[in-house]
Amino acid sequence: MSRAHFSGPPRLAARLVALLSPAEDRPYLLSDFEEEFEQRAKAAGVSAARAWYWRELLRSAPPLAARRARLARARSALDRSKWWKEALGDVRYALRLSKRSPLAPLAIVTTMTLGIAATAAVFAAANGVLLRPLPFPESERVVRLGTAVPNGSVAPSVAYPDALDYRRLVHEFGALTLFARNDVTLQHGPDPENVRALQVDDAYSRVFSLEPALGRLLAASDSVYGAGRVAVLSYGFWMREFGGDRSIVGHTIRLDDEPVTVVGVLTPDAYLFPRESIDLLTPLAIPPHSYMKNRGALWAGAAAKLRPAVSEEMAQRAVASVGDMLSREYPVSNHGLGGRIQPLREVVVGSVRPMLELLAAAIVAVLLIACVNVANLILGRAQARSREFAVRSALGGSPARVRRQVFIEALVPAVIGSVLGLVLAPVLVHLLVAVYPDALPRADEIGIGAPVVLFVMAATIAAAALSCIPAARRVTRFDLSGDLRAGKGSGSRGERRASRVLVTTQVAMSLALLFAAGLLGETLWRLDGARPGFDPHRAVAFHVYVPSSRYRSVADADRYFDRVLDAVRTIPGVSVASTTTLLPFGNCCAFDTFIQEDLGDQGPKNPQAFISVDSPAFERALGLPLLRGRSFTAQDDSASGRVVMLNAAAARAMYGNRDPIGQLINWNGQPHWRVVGVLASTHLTELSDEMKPVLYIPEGQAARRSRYVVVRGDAPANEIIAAARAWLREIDPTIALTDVATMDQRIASSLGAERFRAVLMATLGALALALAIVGIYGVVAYSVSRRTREIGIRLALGEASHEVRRRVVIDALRVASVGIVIGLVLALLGGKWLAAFLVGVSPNDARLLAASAVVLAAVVAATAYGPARRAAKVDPMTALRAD
Amino acid sequence: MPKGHFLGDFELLVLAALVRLGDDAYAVTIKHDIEQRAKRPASLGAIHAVIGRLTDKGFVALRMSDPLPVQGGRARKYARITAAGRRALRESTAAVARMIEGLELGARP
Repeated sequence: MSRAHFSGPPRLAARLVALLSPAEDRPYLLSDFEEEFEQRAKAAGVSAARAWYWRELLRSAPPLAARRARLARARSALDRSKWWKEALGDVRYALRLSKRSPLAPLAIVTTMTLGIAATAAVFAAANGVLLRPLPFPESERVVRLGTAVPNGSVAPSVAYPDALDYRRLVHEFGALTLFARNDVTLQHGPDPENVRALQVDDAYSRVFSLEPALGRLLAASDSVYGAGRVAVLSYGFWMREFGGDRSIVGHTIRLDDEPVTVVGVLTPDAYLFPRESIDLLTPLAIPPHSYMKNRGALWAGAAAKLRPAVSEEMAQRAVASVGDMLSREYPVSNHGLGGRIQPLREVVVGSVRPMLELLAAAIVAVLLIACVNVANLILGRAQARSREFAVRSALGGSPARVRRQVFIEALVPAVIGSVLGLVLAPVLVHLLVAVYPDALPRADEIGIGAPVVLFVMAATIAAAALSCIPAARRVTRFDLSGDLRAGKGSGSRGERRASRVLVTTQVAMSLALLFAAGLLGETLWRLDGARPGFDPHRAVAFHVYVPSSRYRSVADADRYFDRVLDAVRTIPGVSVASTTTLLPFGNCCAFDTFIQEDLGDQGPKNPQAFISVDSPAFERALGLPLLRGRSFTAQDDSASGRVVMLNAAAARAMYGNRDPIGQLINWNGQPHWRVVGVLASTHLTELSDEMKPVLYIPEGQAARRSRYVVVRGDAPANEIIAAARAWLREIDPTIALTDVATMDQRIASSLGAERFRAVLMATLGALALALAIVGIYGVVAYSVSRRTREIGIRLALGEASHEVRRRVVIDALRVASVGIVIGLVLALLGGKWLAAFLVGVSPNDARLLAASAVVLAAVVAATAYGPARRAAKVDPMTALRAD
Repeated sequence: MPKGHFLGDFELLVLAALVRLGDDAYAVTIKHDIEQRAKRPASLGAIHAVIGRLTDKGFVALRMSDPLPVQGGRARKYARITAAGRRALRESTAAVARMIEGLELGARP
């Protein structure tokens, strides 16, 4: 231990001084401390000086620490501002570069615009339709209550007495509402109008959080049978029909020719279930002796709001146990029935989900192809400028700095593209909503809002990052001296691998999309060619409802229809006119159980069928072939024996190979309905449905107020419709004619979903293919231009030019073949996903797979042929001299 | 006058010490001057921090001297007041003087 140490300043304290002081002050501060220490040691002794040293350190610490913190802040601010300044410089450089050679940036911007616009539109739709809760307060707590029926499906309705029991016994329900569609005819203005009305109880407004904009909502007292008739108008209906007249509240309007007092108007944002397009709400008043009070009559729609903190599972368990109890207590009506709840949002958008998922997957594939294209363009530019990057590196540009520059060069056009894409996106959203079959649910909620913009920002950055990866890898991993020396070589191994990856990805993606489009197209084609079971050509149908307020008895209504049919038959060119209650591709569906008298009552195993009540000659009006026996005649009325017809599906299900003619059934509590004829089976709502059993009843023996009038004739459909409209107005101007369309139109619109899917996928497939062609062309042309010298040598050595062409094309095909194989695997995986949408074609249809692969190979060959031809035309001398 | 040009209490003392010490002003001599005249403790760390701050403001210019090639030769950071520093010192002391002029502050210690 040296004396010097003993007499020196305390080491630890000195180290702390060094630690505390800012770097640039450190030696001077230490020296100052030492100088003062030595003076003090001389004057007052070493230990006093040491004590001073420590004290001075403690006194110095706070100002030094503050100074250091201040310097650190200033330095990092300086670094940040330097980063931004450099990044801004990169942006300016990218823009300047674009001005000099605008072709590639233009291609990038266009590709990005299309990709981003499509992605934004689909995301907006997915966000508006699938992700957001329904637009009313506490909507996530609302469920629909339905009835599970023996065949495993869930009927969207409940029996009234059951509903009352659920309301009483399921404590998880905060409120339970019952409702039923009951369209009415409004007399207001010159023509009567069919109005979409919903009968609701007073709990409806609590479940759906309705508020009156004017007047009041429906109260419990309104639902008492025999109370004065009242109605609450939807805001849209109020504006449309009454021009927003505030004095309407308290006044009467005429519905079904009866006076009804308007007591209120809903707010514009009111959410109405089951259809948002409901025009007005009327009280649900149940007549004392109506069938509506029967258990087993599943007529009421029901929705419930769960109490706070009650989960769907808890509520479902409670509902199921009450349902079990009911089926034990009322075995006759409730055997095999159960209660089932489903979140309302699932009810509303459930069926769109697979569609939007499909759309999203397809769009992501297209965006990926777009990114690959952009990556390719950026890589090409980076390679063309490899000398510049080499110089930058040689001059000390760090890899991070160079990578940032490449990223910014990708980001600038991507941002421009995404801004343009966002401008374009609303147009695409409009297009999507317009082309969607039977109105996309919640379509009006689709908009380009903050979530969409955020999503697009994320997608843009991701796309830019993704597309600059190959270039960034390239420019930071080059062979410095080689790049500085060489101009164009034959391309490094890394370059070739990068472009191979690009081509492979594009080929694989487009093949998968092409295959998907093929599957959906084939489905559409099959369905379009499918026979509906009747002759839809030259037939028109419209719906007529005859209210009891004007035609007291059903017989009166029947007489009205007779007059209508007599009048319509006089229209020139009309050959047959009749009525039916079950119009294929029209309404759907009355469904009932009956008893085969040859088998007796089999309880739950009794046959079930759709019920169609028809006037004579309806089968000729529909073009429905009579297979056996006879059809209904005017003599089949209440005075004669009861008769029915079956369709082939029902006859087969009930009697197998036995002759159904002459068999008896018990329907509607009435025995001895004799089967007199068998009609061909038809599809009822979708061409993809199986043909279901139907029981036909003559109108003369079970007349109905609500019927479709079917008219067959050679005159143009619009002339028949105009003439029919005129006749109806003349017979009774208070009765409206609704749902007017030819049978051809009805079938075509039933194929809307299939057509939408097929057209959409074909469009995306074509877009993908076009992008892929551009990308593959770019890669091949570039690789040919890099190999100019090699090709020149080959030509000079006497290789035939067709041989050069062949070689280039085969090289391209060889690269593409990997993509084709991967594409086939992707296609098979995607096909499984599509299975739900396919009819008459297997999701791994070998023919379509082969066709897609051949198309892709042909496209690649054709695309490569252009550059190949140019390569073969190279003048060997020029090629060898070049560069 | 921007806010940064008002001198703090300690800044004022340090600048005054620089004027007095002239070419021989570095942390140790400044410390002695302030402690003797102003009767205020002045830690070396505080003096270095303030000189740094005054340098940033442009009131002080620095001159580094490398360790002298002799026994006990030291690295020193000499500070010199700039014209702007003189002006700031003048204005700040004048402001103080104007403020306390005519005030009865009790007996001097």
